[in-house]
Amino acid sequence: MAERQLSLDACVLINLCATGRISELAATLAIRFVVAREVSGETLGLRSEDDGAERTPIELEVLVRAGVLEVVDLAGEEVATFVRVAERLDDGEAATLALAVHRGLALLTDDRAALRLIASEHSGLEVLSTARILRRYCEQARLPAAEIAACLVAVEERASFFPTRLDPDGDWWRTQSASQAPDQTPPAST
Amino acid sequence: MSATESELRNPNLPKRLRNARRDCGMTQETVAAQLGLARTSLVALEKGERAVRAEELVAMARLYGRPVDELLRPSAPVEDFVGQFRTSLSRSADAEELEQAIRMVERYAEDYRELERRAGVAANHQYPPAYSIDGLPATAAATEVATTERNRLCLGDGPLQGLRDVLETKLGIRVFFIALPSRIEGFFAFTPETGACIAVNANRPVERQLWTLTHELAHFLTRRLSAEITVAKAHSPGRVPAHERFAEAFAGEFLMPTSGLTRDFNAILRTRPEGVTPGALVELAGFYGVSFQALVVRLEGLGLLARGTFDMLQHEGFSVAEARRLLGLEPRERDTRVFPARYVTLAVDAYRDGRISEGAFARFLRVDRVTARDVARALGQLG
Repeated sequence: MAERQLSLDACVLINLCATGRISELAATLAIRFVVAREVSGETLGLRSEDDGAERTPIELEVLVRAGVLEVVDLAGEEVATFVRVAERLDDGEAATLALAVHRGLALLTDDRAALRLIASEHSGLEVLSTARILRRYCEQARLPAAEIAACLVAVEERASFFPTRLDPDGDWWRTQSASQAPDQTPPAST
Repeated sequence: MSATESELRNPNLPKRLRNARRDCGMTQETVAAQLGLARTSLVALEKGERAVRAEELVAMARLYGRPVDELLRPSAPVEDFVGQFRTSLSRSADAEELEQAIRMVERYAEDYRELERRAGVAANHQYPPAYSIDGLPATAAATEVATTERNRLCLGDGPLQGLRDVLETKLGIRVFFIALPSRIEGFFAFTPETGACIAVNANRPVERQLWTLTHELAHFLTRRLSAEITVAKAHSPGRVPAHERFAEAFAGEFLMPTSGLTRDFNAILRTRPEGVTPGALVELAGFYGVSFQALVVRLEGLGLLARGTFDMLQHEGFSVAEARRLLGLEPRERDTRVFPARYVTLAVDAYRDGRISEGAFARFLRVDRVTARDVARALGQLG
């Protein structure tokens, strides 16, 4: 099955890494993440399991080597779009959006500012949230309830992410994460 | 619409590019060579005589280590913030470290302005007219200005609670607590774009921080167009200029008003007819949030204690730390907030309302994304 490419922003990248299952998720859904150089240049980390103040760095090279993720440079018209969008969003978000627009990719983001801009100027783009992609993965992989809960709780605890009330999959998330308190969160290997 | 069109509509981009290059100490020759441009092209670009192409902007942002989104801010950049300190910096042994700190505050002040722009709110400056103290001795001027300002701000004549917040909310002064070279207590700067900014050394004891804040307030109230760096006493031998003597006297009067301090001192005397003990003075210093030395010297100045009391206690080996321990006084927590509360609130609101992205939000707060999410959740429920 051909891999589908998705333009991934830093918000969702952190969340997916927090699950410790990003490679498995990509394989299950037959997707490959495309990340703009502007995103990969940012230092990203997750809350360490043993010390909440410490951060475990996210090492993108591991994901690149595993073929889960590709870091790309913007080119041609993408650069022009990036610069235009950067007047309203930060560089990483603007580059992610420029990639999606020009390469016809679905966009993975939870960022409210990005979603506002997309709704007003790029309404034709397919946008997926953290909750939506994790839900698809959990359902397709037929994960047991305890594993789903562990996966979502890891995102809440290590990435401090909770879907908003406006997220269409927010209720699913809250129900699943509360359904069975996990004994421990999975390791967040990248 | 092409990127070139969008750049042409941003009249402040050339200035921002020039400032960004200057901030990282690069010459036009170096940059032009790195970008494969003729130097004359870069000069024209920085003067706004030649449009910036999108690729050039991205390349320059990388070269200068600055985000493109910051360079594209539509507001006019802050001008000459560091330049105000040029004379002081030229005489300073730690000029490089100090200049970096000043530049950091310039960026913070600029970010503050950007948050206000994004929120669509005006700066909250509520500045009183500058006080004239010409011809007055430092102590007389300090008493007059401190009393008037305390009354104007309805602060009474007792110990001050949360002076930093008072300055930020009632006057609209931007106060930042940052790490400064060890010999520097703080500094004051003013530009038309940012308004008044005070930086306080985050690594100093809390009593010293309060004193510095008040010292810088004195400069704001009397000489707000003159930038000033406050150097620790041990590092500033020689004759003290009149405005510095005023600022020190003002800090004493503002933090320990004659009327309030006399009243509190007399209250102690009434309960201890045999005389005030050093322990009672330690308590009183804690009550006013000042150091033991500042309190005793102030009481000496008011004639409530004999001149030389502090020197005598020091000579006798009186230990303030030991006295505090025996009295069970907890050490006061240092103020570790880098940014004013209003700054943080503006950032949280902008993020919550989708006016800034998560990456920008984290950058405004100078924290990583996970911490930024924690701040957003704690201060403004998303959902």
